[in-house]
Amino acid sequence: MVKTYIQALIILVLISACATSAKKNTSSVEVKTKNTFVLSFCSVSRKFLPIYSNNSTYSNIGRVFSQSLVFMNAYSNVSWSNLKRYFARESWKEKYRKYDQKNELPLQVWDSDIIHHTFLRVPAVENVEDDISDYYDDVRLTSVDNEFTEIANLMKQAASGSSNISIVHFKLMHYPYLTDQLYALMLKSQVLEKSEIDLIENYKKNFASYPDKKIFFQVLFGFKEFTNYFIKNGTRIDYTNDHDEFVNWSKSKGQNVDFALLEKVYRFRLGVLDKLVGKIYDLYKSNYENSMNFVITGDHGEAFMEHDNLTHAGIPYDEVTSFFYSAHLSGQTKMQLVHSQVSQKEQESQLSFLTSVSSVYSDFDNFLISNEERSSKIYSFNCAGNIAAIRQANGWKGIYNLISDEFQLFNLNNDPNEKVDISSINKTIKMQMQTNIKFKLDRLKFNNGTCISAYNF
Amino acid sequence: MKKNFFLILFILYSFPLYSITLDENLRVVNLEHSSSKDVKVLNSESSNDGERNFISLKLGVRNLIINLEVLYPILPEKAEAYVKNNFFLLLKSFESIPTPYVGQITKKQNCLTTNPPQLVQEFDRKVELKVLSYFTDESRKPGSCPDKHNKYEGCQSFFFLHDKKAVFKIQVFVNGKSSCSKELLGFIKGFKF
Repeated sequence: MVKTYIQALIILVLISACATSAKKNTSSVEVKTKNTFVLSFCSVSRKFLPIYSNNSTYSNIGRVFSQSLVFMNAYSNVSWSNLKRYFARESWKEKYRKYDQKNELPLQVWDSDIIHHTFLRVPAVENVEDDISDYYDDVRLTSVDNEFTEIANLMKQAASGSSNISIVHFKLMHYPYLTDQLYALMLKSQVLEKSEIDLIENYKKNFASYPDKKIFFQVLFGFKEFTNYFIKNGTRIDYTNDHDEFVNWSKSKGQNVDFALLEKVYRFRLGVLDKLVGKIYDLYKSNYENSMNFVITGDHGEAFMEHDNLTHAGIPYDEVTSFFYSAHLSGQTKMQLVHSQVSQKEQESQLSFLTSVSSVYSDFDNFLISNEERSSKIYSFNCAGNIAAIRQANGWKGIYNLISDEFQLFNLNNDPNEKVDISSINKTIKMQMQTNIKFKLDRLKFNNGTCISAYNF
Repeated sequence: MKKNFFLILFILYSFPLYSITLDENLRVVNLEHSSSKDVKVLNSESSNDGERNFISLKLGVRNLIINLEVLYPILPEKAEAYVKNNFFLLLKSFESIPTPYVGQITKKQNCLTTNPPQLVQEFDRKVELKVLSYFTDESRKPGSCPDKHNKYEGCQSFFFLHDKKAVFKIQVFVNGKSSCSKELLGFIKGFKF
């Protein structure tokens, strides 16, 4: 009797085990995932790039765009941070649980190793300050050719891992700052289109002979030595990132700045970037096309005095917050424009999603809509956190100075350059936007550092 | 007949202007002010985001303009962050604005040494009041430096009422002849907490 009972029990256990195994087999359908390699570039104004502009000559970037998803409405939340900072947030993990539940994404990999590499590459030596080193892992003297060799190694590593996202962040559009003379000479040489490597070598050679060795990273237009160089008749300005002060300065002195030359230098620098992108894309196409996605993106734009400003940390107008963003999915042969409004905080989830895509999505806009991955409202802040912007997908944009209570309202559908403040005739929308921004004030975390953090978004 | 019609129209048109008192504006948070009848509500706006409400009032009190904002409902810890962030930004506006890039030097006129803002913390019937007073110019912007002929005093106060789950911001400017914080605290004392 006991023996029969034990036999029955064993049979029951075996049946149960088989059933569990069968269930596991049906739910563990392997999702084909692909790695994603991201090239991120600092301070690139998209208004000079193909697709975003009608007369751009940067053919390599155009070549990447022609076989990618191109996001036409990507805006940053804070204009001094990059993707790394967004991936470092804790909140993203919670957000992707929904994908995990659907067995769509390999979260176990991302949790431990989502950022394979985040490097800063600039053609200079850096005197790393505390708050700067917080932003970047690695700084070194380099050149385009050296860069390419490094990138080839990184790409190989990225392709050999499983289901991860590798990000390389560049600051090619930033310039080193040494002394007036050397810096000015360097810029002048670049305008004359001297080779990049010669410049770097010359820079390296002369670096030790300068006693102060005071090198900082700077936004191209954001410091007085650069601006001085482009001011005719030797007029000096005291650079400021205070908006009001800058407006006053530009009204009185702006006519002396040679903006054409300034733009020429910027475009020259973009040409270097374009060359590098072309080399990397060719490498990708010939070796990793079948196993990896390829993303190129910016982190924010640059102001070219559209709103009396030459920097990118002070004001959240579109020329500062907009950035370029394209994602070439493995096997993609045609361009697909994505019109949905997205911010950097959505970028992290989109990039995560791309690792799980086994074929090209036919309608990425529709994906964004159905997964609520687009932004109906994008909040952006200036460095100090006292000027905020809301950019609504329906075309309204508000810019609010939280301290002086000044508010500007623009209808981007009719006024894409944010020139005509219509807050006085749209008081209800103004009030609603002011309220939304004020409500943000209990959610932001200010630190004692220089800028409010991307962790807030 | 025609005369009466215009009279009725005039009464209908002007009635709401005079009938919406300070107390009536604050009824939603169940708060009254002892001088409500003497306070002119010059402008009243309200809004919400589906979760919270916001009221903004411009008040005429004797010869002063007082701006009053109410945000509700709000949890105590959120209210604390809201007040903290507001003060942080306010105080920062008196400093040179920092930048993320070392070397971008701001040469903004700095009034911190000559006219430093004063942060006062007081209690009124167990309600903690934080008042920041500062000198400014006719722009009335915090951080703008006053001069001899162009000197205004501004005060901003924040307080949170636990039972009403509401955070209040009150702002007043005086032309330097009277004490800003005295005016502001006097107005706050009129609230029936």
